Amino acid sequence: MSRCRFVQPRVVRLALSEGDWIDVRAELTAGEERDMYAALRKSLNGTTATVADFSLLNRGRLVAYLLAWSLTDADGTPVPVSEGALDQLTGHDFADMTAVLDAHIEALREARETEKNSRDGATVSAPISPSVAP
Amino acid sequence: MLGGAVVRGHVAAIKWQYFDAATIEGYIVTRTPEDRNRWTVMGTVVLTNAFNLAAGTRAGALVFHAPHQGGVWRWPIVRYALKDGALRADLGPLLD
Repeated sequence: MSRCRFVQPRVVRLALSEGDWIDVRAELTAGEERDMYAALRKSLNGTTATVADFSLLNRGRLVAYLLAWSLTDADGTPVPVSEGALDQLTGHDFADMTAVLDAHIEALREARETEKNSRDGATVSAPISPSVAP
Repeated sequence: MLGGAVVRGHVAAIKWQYFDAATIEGYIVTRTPEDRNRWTVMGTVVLTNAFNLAAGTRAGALVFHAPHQGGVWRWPIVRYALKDGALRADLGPLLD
């Protein structure tokens, strides 16, 4: 059976400190990744020209991957995931969340590389014609 | 928990896990009188993602999401029909 090249909607739970967690997409589709990078673009000095603002990359990644979390407000009420809520996190907690997500993305990249190498290694090379002696 | 037997709303969605399969507007969910765990929904389909709709159907994993203040009501879709922009679906028991 050939390999499925479409992203399956798999959710991965990543642990944060103090027992909290985030649920993230196991991987992004091509469309989701394109939207993530498109969201980094901002107007250049009020003109129609746009430029990528890489200071938004970590936030953009979290927005793209994040599905749910265990976070609550000061009264212990669950807080739904939203871009507004992300911006209200402490800088320290935002950095923690980013680090956990980055580790997941890196593990995914490594798994892809391993899978690709094992796939490539399993292919049979075409026969090579023997060299002609000079 | 949902107490009534009828839910009306403006915007809802059909999802395959977290992927959007369809956006629904102007829907009404009704509990079947004979069986408290069975519901039906009718609404207007305003947007579909054909790939996710087909994949979710094959997986038997489509879920109707109806957002409300403070959360989302979710029902598994047992069977559905989309015709002329209208959705009619039989739903299983309310999830969660």
